[in-house]
Amino acid sequence: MKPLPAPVLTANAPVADRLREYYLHYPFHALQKALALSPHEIIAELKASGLRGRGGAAYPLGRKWECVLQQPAPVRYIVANGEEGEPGTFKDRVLLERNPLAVIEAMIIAAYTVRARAGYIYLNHSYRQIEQTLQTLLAWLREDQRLGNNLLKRQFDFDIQVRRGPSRYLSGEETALFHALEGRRAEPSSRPPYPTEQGLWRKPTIINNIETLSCVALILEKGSKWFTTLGPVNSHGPKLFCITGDIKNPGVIEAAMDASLRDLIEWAGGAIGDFKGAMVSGPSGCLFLPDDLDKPLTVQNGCGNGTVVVFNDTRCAVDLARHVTDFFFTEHCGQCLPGRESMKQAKSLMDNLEHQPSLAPLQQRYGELHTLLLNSSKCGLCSSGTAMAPALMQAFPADFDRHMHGGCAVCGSAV
Amino acid sequence: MTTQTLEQIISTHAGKPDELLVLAEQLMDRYRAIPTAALALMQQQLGLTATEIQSVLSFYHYPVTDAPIKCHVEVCRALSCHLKSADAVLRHLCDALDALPDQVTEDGQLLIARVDCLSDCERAPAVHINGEYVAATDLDALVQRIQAALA
Repeated sequence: MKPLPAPVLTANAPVADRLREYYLHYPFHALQKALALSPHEIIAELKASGLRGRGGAAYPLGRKWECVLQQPAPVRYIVANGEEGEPGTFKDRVLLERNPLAVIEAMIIAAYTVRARAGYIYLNHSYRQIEQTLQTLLAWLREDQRLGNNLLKRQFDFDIQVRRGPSRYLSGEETALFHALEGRRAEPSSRPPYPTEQGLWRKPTIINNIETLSCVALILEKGSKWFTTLGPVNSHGPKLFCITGDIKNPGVIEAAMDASLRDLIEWAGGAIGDFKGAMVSGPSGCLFLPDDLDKPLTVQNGCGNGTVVVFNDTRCAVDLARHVTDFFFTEHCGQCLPGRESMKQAKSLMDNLEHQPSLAPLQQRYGELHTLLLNSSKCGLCSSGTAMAPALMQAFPADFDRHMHGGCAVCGSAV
Repeated sequence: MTTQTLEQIISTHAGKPDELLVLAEQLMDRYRAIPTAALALMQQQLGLTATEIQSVLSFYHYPVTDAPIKCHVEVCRALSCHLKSADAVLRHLCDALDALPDQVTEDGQLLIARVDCLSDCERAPAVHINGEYVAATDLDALVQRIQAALA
């Protein structure tokens, strides 16, 4: 087994029960270094690091910050996305439990870089304890003039509010999250305009995932060169992987993106039973099969947010495809006709699978729905939600065939 | 739950329609539901119409009830929990406690809600009782815990 690299992002133990001590000893090295640089120098350092967003889309961070800096608008916002609506994802919770000041520090650096005056940390509905921790830290930072007016006597004002929102899968999508912050339904908007041009309250906004922001603090502290020594090209830096499902020790594993799925499974104690497949980047991501076990978990290979859900050979692919389809049917917003109608039809196809004569027409129809969504739905959520079921059909046709001809003992269904 | 307390809570968001969800979460933390009596006050104080408020509350599946819910159980049904028999947990709880998923019981005391996702995937199947994670390894113990919360 390959040795597991020493953790950097998750080196701390949870801080909630020693919060004051943690606060008093937090060095703010990254902030000190950033304040000695110009905004353009900060962006150049971030670009040199090659850091890409860790929320799923993997957009280059330096470019995103630069876009916001270039906007002529006088008001800009910084938003930390800790919604974690993607099933199987909980890495941001772990980071906020272990090193919340790295996120706040990065937000202050972002505000200094693009001259934003207000920031928000948006949390998953169930993160009550983290919300309290953050509120306490923010109060101490205000007392010490690390937040608020004339911050650190550097003649810029910046403050952060914490918002814990209701649980909806859609809330994690950037534009939907802005709507939730504005007190509205978390429905995604069409792009363009992009959040860097018109984001929260239609102002230029930097919105970054919690893990991405944690990496910003590391880059400025240790340098972009150090960051590029970890992981392959276009997938630099430390990465948190959430591994769950049929696995002996589910949890968060910190490694670099040259790690393979096999490495990850071994570090997590091994699979329970014989490995059949894994959904990488969650149910809206891509399907890894036994032949893919040695593929590195890079951005190019579809590992955007680091979620890995393993399933063994006792699982029926039809059950998984039905579950994923049900999930997206329940969670889609319903605001556009292609999304609304296609998700209804996708669910109907899966619900009535046993009445199909063979797999081919099912695959064709499901594929048509996926293509229609790619071409015409308002956002990318429904199209990504209809990608996993066809992949399961292609990989495990025997499971589907069993449901159509004779029934499935695993699912307890009979024709 | 008194009207005075509700007024106090809601008035802190007066004139701030963008704080509708902040207020809703505050009410959920306190009452585990949005009190029916709060709706008119929310309209007045936040300056929103009844339709605007209802459209947001229903989108996020907030329960709206006349009285506070004593026990709000959230059963995560997302993928990692599904693989760890979340459906069986839900069925067991509903059968043992004579409840239907996502519906407040007739006595107004209990809501067993299916949710996606509690982000407790490494401890699947994840169940939260009144906002706190509870291990769902022993289903009878889980039922007892809910009964204790209802007592």
